[in-house]
Amino acid sequence: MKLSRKLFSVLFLSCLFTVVSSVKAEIVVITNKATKLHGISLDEVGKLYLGQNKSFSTGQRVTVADQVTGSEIRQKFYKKVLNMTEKELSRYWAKRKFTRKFKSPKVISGDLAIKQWVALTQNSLSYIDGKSLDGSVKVLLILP
Amino acid sequence: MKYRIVIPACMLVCMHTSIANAFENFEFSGYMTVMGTYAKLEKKANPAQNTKYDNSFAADQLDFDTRGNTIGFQASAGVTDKMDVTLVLQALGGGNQYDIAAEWAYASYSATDDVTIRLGRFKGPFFMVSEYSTVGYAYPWVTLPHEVYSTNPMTAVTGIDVVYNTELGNWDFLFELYTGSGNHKATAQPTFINSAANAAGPNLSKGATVNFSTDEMVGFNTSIGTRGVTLRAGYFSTSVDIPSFGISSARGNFGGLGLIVDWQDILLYSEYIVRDTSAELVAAFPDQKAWYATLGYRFGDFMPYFTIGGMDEGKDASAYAVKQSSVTLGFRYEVGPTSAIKFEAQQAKTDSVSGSTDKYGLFDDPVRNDKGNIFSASFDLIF
Repeated sequence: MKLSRKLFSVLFLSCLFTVVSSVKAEIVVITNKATKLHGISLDEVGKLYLGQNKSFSTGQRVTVADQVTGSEIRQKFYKKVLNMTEKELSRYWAKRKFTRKFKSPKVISGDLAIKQWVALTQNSLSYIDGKSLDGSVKVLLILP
Repeated sequence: MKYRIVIPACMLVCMHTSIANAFENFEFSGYMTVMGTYAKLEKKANPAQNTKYDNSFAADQLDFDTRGNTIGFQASAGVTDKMDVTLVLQALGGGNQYDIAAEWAYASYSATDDVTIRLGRFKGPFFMVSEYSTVGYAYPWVTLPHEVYSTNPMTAVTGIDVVYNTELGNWDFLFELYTGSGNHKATAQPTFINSAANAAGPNLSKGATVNFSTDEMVGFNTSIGTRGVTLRAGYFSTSVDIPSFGISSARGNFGGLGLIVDWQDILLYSEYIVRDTSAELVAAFPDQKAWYATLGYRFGDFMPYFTIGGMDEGKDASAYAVKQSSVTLGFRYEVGPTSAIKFEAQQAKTDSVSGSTDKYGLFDDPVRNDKGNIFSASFDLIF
């Protein structure tokens, strides 16, 4: 019993450690702390960023913020979520954003400003580097 | 007395916060195209004439100031989380002399997740690419395929537009219904300008623009797509008045089918349209049908493509209709994440329609040996 409990706690700790370290290394999808949602799927994130969906699964209207074009994190994010390059994304939005039938994400420069905006904005959605994460925002998804 | 002070103070505070919010929700974007064009005819009907192609798109001199040059600036302001207001200021080159115009100005209200309502002056979803016809970066070509897009001189509708957009399994479905009016201008048909009817009647000179207005326009635009393939259909019908010709309540109907395949490295665009107008419009907007197909292949940032296109007289024969077919070779090269350069060489083969022996095609003058070559290059960006 003792041994298994010890083994369990070691396993638990190592699991926790891997989660924490992976958070540190990767991109986290974040929202306002008041959002009544505990997680989000990769598919949902993709549709919100392409303007194809406008609400969380709870029915709340989402305001989406994006990192700056050309930033490394933006390139990684779209590769992971939608398997799209920035050029593909530009062409996608060039056809849509001038009709306003689909709303493109607002652009905010850098993790710090995004965190501040997410902390202040209800039903917000954005993403930052795991290293910048702190208690001011809520994590919905960790991108591997 | 107290109320009198309190109420304006309240209003001021409210106004201040709403203005602050509006600025916070401002979003700017834009597009730009810089273009050079050149048209070469082997043999002109009249060697002294400076022949132009497709409403002054290209002339037989190298031209860097054509109507293809575009600068557009779009500002959108969020009014509430469901409503925003958009204004597009646009300047076109060539005969438009870069006059800045509020091309589009409308409020858009997303009533539900699936329904968006637009009110005001918005881009008409007439054909497949019409809504972003001036955003060169958004499409593969230097300019929209001449045969199809020359048939419709309208760009905007002032009225109301209801867009229903939902998911059907893995397919994205859009259905849009619109109605409205508009004031427009079109360059008079060269086939009419050179005719005896023009000499006897209005006596318009070459390149003259004619104002016309549309009322009671009703149309729909629908598309279904999944990642890689989009199918599109649209139709609209409008009443047309051309005061300078004494035409009122004539009817213009436009229909079109379109397909876009953007699958892996393959790109395919194709469209077929018809213009079907009432008899009064035989000189200004004769019946036409037109089509094109573009096939391209992406080698990384470099995409060569070729387009074949054609136009012919429509349902009712008219001596003012035009007929031509064309083959275009071109390439697009992605310069950066939001800009591209493009080049096109087109050979247009003109033909005559029933009731006429002149082979105009989209040229200002009849072409004697049937062929004209048009070269164009552009730099396009969005921001």
